Amino acid sequence: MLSAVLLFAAAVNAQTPQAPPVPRTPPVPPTPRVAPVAPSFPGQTTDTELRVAAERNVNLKFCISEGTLKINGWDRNEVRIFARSGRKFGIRVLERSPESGNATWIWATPTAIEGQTAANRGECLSGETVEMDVPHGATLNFQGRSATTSVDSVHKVSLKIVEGNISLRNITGGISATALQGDLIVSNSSGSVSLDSTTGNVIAYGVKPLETSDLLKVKTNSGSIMLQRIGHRQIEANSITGSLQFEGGFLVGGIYNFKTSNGAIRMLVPENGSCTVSAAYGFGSFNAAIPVETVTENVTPGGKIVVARIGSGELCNVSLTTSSGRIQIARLEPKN
Amino acid sequence: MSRNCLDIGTIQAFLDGETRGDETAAISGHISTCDACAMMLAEADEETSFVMAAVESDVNTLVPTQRLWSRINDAIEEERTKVSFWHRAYAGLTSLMAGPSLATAAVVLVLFGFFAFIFIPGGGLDAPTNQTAAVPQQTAAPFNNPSQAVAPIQNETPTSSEIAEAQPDAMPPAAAQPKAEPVRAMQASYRPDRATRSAGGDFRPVNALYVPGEDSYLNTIETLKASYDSQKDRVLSPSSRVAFERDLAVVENSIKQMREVVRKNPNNQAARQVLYSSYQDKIDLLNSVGQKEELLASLQ
Repeated sequence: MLSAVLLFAAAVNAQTPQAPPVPRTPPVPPTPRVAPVAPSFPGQTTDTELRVAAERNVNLKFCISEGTLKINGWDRNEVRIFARSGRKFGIRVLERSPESGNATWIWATPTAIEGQTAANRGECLSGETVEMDVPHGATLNFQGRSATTSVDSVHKVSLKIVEGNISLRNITGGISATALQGDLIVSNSSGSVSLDSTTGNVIAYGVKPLETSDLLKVKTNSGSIMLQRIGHRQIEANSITGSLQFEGGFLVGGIYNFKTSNGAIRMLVPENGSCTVSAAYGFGSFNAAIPVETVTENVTPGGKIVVARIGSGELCNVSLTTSSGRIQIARLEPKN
Repeated sequence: MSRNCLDIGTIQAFLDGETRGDETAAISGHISTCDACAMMLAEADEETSFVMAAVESDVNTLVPTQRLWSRINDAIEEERTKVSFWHRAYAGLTSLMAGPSLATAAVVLVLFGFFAFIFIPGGGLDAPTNQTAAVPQQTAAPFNNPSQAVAPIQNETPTSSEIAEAQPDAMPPAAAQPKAEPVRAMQASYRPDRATRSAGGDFRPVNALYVPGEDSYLNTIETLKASYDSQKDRVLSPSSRVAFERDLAVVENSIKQMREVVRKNPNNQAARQVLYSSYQDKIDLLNSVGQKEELLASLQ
């Protein structure tokens, strides 16, 4: 039987072409990658200003390709958009109030110019500076490629920017902000807050919830996180290679989770608080500069869990996790 | 500058994507801790960007892009892994038969076997008839129910389903030879699967002792890693790539360390907690590339 197989194989082999050699990948120089560049429209830039009557709680959506973006809340029931040295744009009213006829939903988008089709017109505003004045109760929803962004005194913001720093102030109804390459700074704001950066730092101070269940979620890959005077009772802060600092008092019923893989965790808290701290670390260290009572301590090579109480320890829970970073709890000096 | 600083050749190879996975991780790890090398990398990156911007049009017209080569190689690799064991065995056999001396020997062997089959007493064509009844009953029993190993003898009028099951075994020995093929087919289908896993960069150690839940993390990471490999060239700029690889190296180092600890002492809850946390970091990290691509795509 075997010999029959061998004979058959020999016969087939005579008719079967040999498999071609596998080509090897030649060394190809990498294509240079740069930050996404907005399409340029030479000779088509101009200063444009448009206004439209809007409800106080108007929703505004747009996209910005490049420029400095400044959005400010004002007391008028009107939306004003001004682009300096930018593409011409229009304001489309997607929805109006049946009572007043004012806009409740607005979309700012470039207008078509001669020779452009809808496909190559794009949907993003651009300009050296783009300024917007919107009612205080406005909700903003926008994305951007390369834009330095500052938003002040509006109700709610949801934004995603590929490159550029973001500064948000006096946002009263919640924030969802993503900056892939850039820092994120949030101050004096309230509501549910989610801040996400890939390579930038995240700073939040004077931020508080609107409702008890509002969550403050902060994440960055390689940046640092600093949280100061935070009123949220649920906080999740996570950095991978950056450090993490929390400064302020713990609140009753608070659940705080701080995690970093390689950075340090530093907590600056008043010593008269009441919280249970659970610190888990692999190859780092843990020390407390305020009086704490160690409840359990499981110290083994490569993995330690220390559960300690600040005060009676009954009012909140703090979880601190790091792989190789240092965990430190320090005293926050009371301010006069 | 420390004594272990990288030379410019290594840095250039790193930028060009010519380093292996472990080298890349090592270089990223070193760069994250060495300012001098980070500076040198940034300078080399700038120079490369400057030069490539100048020659980009020429390069793009002369050679395919890196992504195209990657796709071609992936497709070839996939085709190779799809080839079963028997195909490879067949290919090896046919290459052996290419030599005229071996082919001649095979012909002689066949003739010898043929004559032996005809003339040797007891090895004739009518010998298997008595064995046919025994073979199917013995071989069929393990596939059905061991407790009924002798039952088919009593049941001389089997039902249609039993006939269907018994048919392959009821063939005479000459035709019964392919009976073993289902078993071979199972082996053949298993090996390419294993080959695919190793080619896909499965980093799980053989016979590793997983802590509960670890496997699901690994599966997720494996899926995301495959996705990242296909996205990284078009999503990450060189500087972002360096930062990303550095972060990934840090997390992987953390996983490695904590895994060692957990393997030594599986009851170390702290180490397990940190290990899970590190796995989650890696998932978040890999996921961030997909999110970035999604955002960039929405801005097209």
